[in-house]
Amino acid sequence: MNGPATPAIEVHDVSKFFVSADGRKTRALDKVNLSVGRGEFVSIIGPSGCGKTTMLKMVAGILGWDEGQISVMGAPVSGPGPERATVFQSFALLPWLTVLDNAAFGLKMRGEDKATRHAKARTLLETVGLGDFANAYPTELSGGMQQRVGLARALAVSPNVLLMDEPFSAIDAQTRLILQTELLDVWSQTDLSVLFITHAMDEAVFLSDRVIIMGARPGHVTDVIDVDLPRPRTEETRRDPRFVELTARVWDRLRGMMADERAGTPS
Amino acid sequence: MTSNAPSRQAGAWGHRLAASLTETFWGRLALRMTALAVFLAAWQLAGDDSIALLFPTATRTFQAFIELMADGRLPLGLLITGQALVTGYAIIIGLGVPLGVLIARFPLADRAISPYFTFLVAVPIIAIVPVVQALLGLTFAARVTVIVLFGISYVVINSAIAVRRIKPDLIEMAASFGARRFTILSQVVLPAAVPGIMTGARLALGQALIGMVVAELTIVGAGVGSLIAELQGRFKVAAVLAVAMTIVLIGLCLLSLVEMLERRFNRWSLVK
Ligand SMILES: Nc1ncnc2c1ncn2[C@@H]1O[C@H](COP(=O)(O)OP(=O)(O)OP(=O)(O)O)[C@@H](O)[C@H]1O
Ligand SMILES: [Mg+2]
Repeated sequence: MNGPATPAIEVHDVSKFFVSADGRKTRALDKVNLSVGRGEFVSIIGPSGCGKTTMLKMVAGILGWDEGQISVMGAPVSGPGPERATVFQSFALLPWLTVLDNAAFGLKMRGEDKATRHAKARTLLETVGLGDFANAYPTELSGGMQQRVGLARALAVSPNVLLMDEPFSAIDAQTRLILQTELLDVWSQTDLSVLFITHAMDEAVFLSDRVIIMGARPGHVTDVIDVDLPRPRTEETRRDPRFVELTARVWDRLRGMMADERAGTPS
Repeated sequence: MTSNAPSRQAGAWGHRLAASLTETFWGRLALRMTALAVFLAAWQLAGDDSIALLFPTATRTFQAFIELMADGRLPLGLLITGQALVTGYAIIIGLGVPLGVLIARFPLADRAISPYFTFLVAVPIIAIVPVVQALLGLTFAARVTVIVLFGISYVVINSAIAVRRIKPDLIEMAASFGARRFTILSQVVLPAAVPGIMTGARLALGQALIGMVVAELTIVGAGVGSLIAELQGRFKVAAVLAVAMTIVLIGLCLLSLVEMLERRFNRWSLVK
């Protein structure tokens, strides 16, 4: 047995190469180290193309890597597993299925029978405030509502680890703030560990216990910022001077890194 | 100044009439029935029944149709021809869809078999019919083969395109929940490709109908082809026309049926 001391996610010295069409090997990730503790909420932020999605897919078990080790809940990752669930930037809902069947899709893939998965999916649709939309189709919903379905689908499989790749980036700014609070509500009622990718600095700070900053070419971890804001976080948190300060610090690190990069590239 | 008021009114009235004719069910029906009546009247006038060899009127053609139905030769011919069509179309769908999926999902299959279907689309199939005849003779199998050759490439190519267009994150989503290859295929890839497959199925039906007629006329068996040949030999012009029009009407019915199915499936994945 693995004691509770092992982190929920542990990425150790992981490197990843992509082979381009002309046969050249490019390093997408270079000796990445990161960990997410049990029940912890950790964000990754970094410039476009620094390998955030690549990292998340490897943890999800749907993409291989070349060097290093990844383990989840104390066990080495060798594919997708029942203790993990992913929420996608594009929602990834199946347009021919109702909201209920979409929310139940993960359970279906896990081999649950129809009655069980529908009951479970219904409960989670209630949780995300879509109880009345079970029989609607995804295209009839707004972006924010579609991502709620995506969240319900992930939570329905009762994961220990939730992986989220820019889940709110395709959603309008107001709805996005509401979804952030709702996500924290759901998370605080469970012992979920979350790895959350975002481009928005305020979002990273508002949600997380720690913010991991990544740099590009090749992708690597440059900084980790601890967010010591009290929980539960509310709308008040956004006006807290400490919140403003931490957001500014994330921006400073990102900006500094991008300036270094520009200085380093001859052009 | 006031002189154009009545004409404007008439214009508005005409507008409303046009709208009620095109936008309501009964309006559309009335429009179609009128067009049909005009067509039949023109046909009646164009026809000449004084000598049996001349272009027959609508009534003479209809009479010939009734006779052919009554003596059972037309139903029998249609049944036999229909068997070839149904068999051929079943093969087109049953073989075409899996081949399309295979081509889209496996680069090796793409390189190995795609060129044949590109060839089938590019070449006039009529040119290959003698080859089929030489290989299979004047058989049922030969007629089915011709039908399949006419239609299958449309299903293969459209299915392959539809499968290739699937958003990769739908597949990644299923994979992230632990779905295996076959489950992803049946639960995500195929359903997502259905609208494209239906488009292929509709195009293929049109081609299969042409193939059926070509097969009937070149590889004569016991179907409507032999019936037409026999009636032609005895200069039964009206009867030949009756058979031809029956085939056309049945073909149109089948096509609108498939079109209806296509529209229905298109709606389910009006994806943004
Ligand atoms: N399948 C692939 N084949 C080749 N290169 C790839 C592949 N997937 C990603 N890459 C490359 O790896 C790098 C990291 O990509 P990734 O999508 O992980 O970046 P990201 O940080 O998620 O970017 P964004 O913020 O734009 O989402 C990029 O340079 C990308 O071009
Ligand atoms: Mg990304």
